[in-house]
Amino acid sequence: MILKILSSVVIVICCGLIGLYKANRYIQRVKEIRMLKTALIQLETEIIYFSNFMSDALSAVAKSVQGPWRDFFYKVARVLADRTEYSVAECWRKNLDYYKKQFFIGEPEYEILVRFGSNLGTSDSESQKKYFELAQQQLLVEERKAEELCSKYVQMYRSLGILCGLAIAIILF
Amino acid sequence: MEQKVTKALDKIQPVLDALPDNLRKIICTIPFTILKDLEEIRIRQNRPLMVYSRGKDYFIRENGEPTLNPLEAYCISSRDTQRILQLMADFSLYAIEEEIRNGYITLKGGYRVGLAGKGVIEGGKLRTLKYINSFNIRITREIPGVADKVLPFIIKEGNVLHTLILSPPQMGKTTLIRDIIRQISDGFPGFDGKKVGVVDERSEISGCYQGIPQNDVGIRTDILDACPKAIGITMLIRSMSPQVIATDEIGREEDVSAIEDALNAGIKIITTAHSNDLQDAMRRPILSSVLDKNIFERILVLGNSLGTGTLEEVYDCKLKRNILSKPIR
Repeated sequence: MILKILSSVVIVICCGLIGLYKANRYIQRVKEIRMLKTALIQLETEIIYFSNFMSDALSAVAKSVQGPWRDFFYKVARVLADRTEYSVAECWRKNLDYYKKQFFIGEPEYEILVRFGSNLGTSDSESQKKYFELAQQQLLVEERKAEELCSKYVQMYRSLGILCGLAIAIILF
Repeated sequence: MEQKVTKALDKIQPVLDALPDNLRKIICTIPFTILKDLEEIRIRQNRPLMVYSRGKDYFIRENGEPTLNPLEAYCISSRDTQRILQLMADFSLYAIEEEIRNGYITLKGGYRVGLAGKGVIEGGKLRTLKYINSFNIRITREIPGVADKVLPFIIKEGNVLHTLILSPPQMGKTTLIRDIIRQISDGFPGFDGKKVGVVDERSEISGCYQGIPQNDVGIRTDILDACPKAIGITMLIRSMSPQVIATDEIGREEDVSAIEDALNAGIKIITTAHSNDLQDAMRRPILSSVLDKNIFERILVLGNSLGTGTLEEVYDCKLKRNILSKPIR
């Protein structure tokens, strides 16, 4: 009897955690998009107003972001400083792919970043500014969509996890 | 021998860093006899790789050997030129857009790279260059002591004289003015160093990279890098209290009026101009107007009668005659 109760409690906790994990992904996605927008504003300042070289600009951005994004920006900066990669676009994309699993961003944001990276550093500051504006606009759209999904699913997944756990426990009892 | 090669390659390291791996390997295997006097590396898309050394040009094969047959030489691909541009710009074209507009990039170490491509024109002015496919990498040389032969003529009783250096291209005009600046700035036995202001419009004298001079231009020297001469001279007079102002290649009307301002402020001027000799200079409108005004006290003419950088004539503008008995090198 005690064993049954214990196992039911474990099942409920596990399912609850799975629910929380699922819900958390939505919250983190929104947070990451917002962080990315701030990071791009900083990168734009470094590039357009200070005219800093790409690797210095990316290192500066790396200092103000967190988690895997910090590693990503540092890595791209370091590879560019070492001059081992053919272009910024290649370096940017390879590292995005490398860190993709650690990011919470979705496929649309990933695509925006790949497109943005392919133009990074390749033209004069005026056109660079336009690429930054474009990326900001696209990220804003995705941020709104992500917020909507967030408000829709976060509560649902949280409750669903616990409810599923309870259901399984009752069936097994 | 191997040490000498390593030393020669170390000297041009900033140039090698700006080349893709394949081209870097080729340049590193060029025979020492060519490498030690390397003047230019010419890179043109879909054409053979060439280097200039001791006034001669060589086509270079993939193994670094020189050849006379262009078909045997390494042919530059479009991937090469794109990669070179990325490397020279440190992957940041926006940071060097002004330099691209002027047609050259300055690398670390003060090496100048001339560019050619297709101009993008906006409102009658050049906005930028695109399809950049030709690079002329100039290997600048610092030759400490090259000004020794000239200094007795341009310094009188501890004072620097207003000096104009006339020379055809590639005769060591910039190398000479750089060493003059260094020696006037540092001082030497019998001459106390003076404060020198340099307006380095084309970054050739000091070879500034991110504002820091890569060539030795002396301890009392302030440099306004990449600044138009006319504006730069006025700025220096106002802010840096120089005793001597040096600039390279005057040729525009506003340069002349800025020089006159400096004269009125009691500052000595040392400058250069493109010209074969004094007669040639007199035929050019701007230069002749400067010469007519008797601004300069000494005019030095460089040539190559005894080899590159020969001092051919020294005009004393008061006496209006050449005071050099024979050319010296």
